[in-house]
Amino acid sequence: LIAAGGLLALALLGAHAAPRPFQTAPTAQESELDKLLRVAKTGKAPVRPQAARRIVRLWNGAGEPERGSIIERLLTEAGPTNATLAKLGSALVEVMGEFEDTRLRARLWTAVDDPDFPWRPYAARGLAAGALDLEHGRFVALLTDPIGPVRAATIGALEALDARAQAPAVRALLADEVGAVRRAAADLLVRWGHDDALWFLFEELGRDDRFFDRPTGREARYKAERQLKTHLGDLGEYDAGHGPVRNAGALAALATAIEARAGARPELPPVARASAQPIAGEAIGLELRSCRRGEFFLRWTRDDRLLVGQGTPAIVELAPGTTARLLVVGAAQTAKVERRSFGSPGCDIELLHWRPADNTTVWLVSKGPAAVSDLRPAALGEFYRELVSSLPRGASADPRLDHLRERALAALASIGGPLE
Amino acid sequence: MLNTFTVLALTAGLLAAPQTNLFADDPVPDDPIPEDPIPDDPIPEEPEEAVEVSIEKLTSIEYRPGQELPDEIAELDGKTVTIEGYMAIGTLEGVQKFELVPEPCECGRSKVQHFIDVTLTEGTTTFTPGRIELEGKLSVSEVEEDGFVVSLYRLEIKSLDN
Repeated sequence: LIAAGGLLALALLGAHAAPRPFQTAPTAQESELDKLLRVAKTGKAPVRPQAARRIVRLWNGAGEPERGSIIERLLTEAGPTNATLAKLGSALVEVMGEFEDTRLRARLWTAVDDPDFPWRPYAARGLAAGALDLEHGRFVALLTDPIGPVRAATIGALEALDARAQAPAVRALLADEVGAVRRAAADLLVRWGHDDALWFLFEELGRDDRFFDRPTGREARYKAERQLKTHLGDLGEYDAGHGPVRNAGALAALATAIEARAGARPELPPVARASAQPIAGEAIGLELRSCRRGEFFLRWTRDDRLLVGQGTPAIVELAPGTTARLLVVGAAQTAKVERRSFGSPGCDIELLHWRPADNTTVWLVSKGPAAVSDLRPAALGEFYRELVSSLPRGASADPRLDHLRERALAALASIGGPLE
Repeated sequence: MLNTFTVLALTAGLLAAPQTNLFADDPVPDDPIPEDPIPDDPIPEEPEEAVEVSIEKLTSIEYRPGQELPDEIAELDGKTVTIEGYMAIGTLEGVQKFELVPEPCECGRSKVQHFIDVTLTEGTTTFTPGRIELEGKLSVSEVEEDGFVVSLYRLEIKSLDN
């Protein structure tokens, strides 16, 4: 295992070069399109989207037959399968829907229909940008996609199609477990004249929750602040850098303004409410973020509660002594793991948050584009098996808890490999 | 709670020895009067107090290359700041640069405003998967290479010191 870990460390080192704009050298006879494709595929992460966007501009500014040549080149680059398309990287996939070409759009739809395609949210955003009326039904189906960013992208497609008849379906997403989806739904509803949805964005301004060391509430405040400014303009004295206590006066003033415009604050679904109190006693956390199988934020507290989700989580009361037992297992297993990161950069990661006392230690398993066997150290796998055995299984009215154990097992299998 | 990296970005300059006579018992040289009189002991400058900046503030802006930055962001240029974030997955070990990002995953983060390019003036990197706190001098401006904006935020720190 240690030897395997060493190899993985080498893979990790090689996969993320020191910051520089391009990882491959240009050739003398390289055309503008060649250069942009090269940078969009292999350049430093921040320049890839810029290069991809410039290809769109190049196409927009071209006449025939150059336009057709650009599209043919993109089709060639995309190759015949989702595996070849994935090799283009997320930046190119995200713009491919903007070339008004049915063949490129068909390639994206094939990718979105493939649950194992690594860039599904990007493909969905690409399709949303140039959404066609004839695709309306396919987009509506994606509103219930298991991946939050795909649902959020779909909301953008409905806006592009001005599909106001879908307002009830969008409204249902105001109770989505993913904050970004709730905010996107509220944002679109307000654009469509449903001003009561302003209250959902307003609620996010008062979040002050954390997931271990990560200030998830603050992240949400900044995002909601930006969206609310587009609807309300100036937010007065509100400062997203501060929590609800320091913003109390500003929040009160904003509430008055929103009430004058949208009416009284409606009853919000529990998942959309700002946390009333900080979570105490976080001891163990398992954060699974899979671009293929969805995201899970699981916490075990010292008083034997399982918290599922960010913000205001779903709470499951565990049998007395469960967390203490898991802490014993975790101490024994984590002691066997010499390093704290495994794998290579990718969009599927497992993070173990371990807080037996005051300080948090994190272990990371990250799955890159290539499949790797034994990615997760066996000791972490042993611990995860114990953690997962405490998750509820089967149907639940709360979507966060519905078949939670089964879904978490699938996500773990997709990232670090099966637990068996 | 955090893996705190103590970074002493601006103290190096203050460690320069003040011009005091440390050897009063030394024999007086032949020409004891220097051409330039030794000034009085200089009053050490107070280290600039670090401004706490949230990475979410920097990375949540809407930005396109060439676009003017919001005042509250632009005015951070040149300031000493403390900031928390995550080393980007795939950070090389043993080098003097890495990217600081707001989340521990890639999570759709791909625009230039989502990255803070950190340079270590001393020491080298050791990848840490948890949230870290850094202190150093922040630069806020576009850096262009070959027509692309490759950096918007840069942080110069002394070292990572667990």
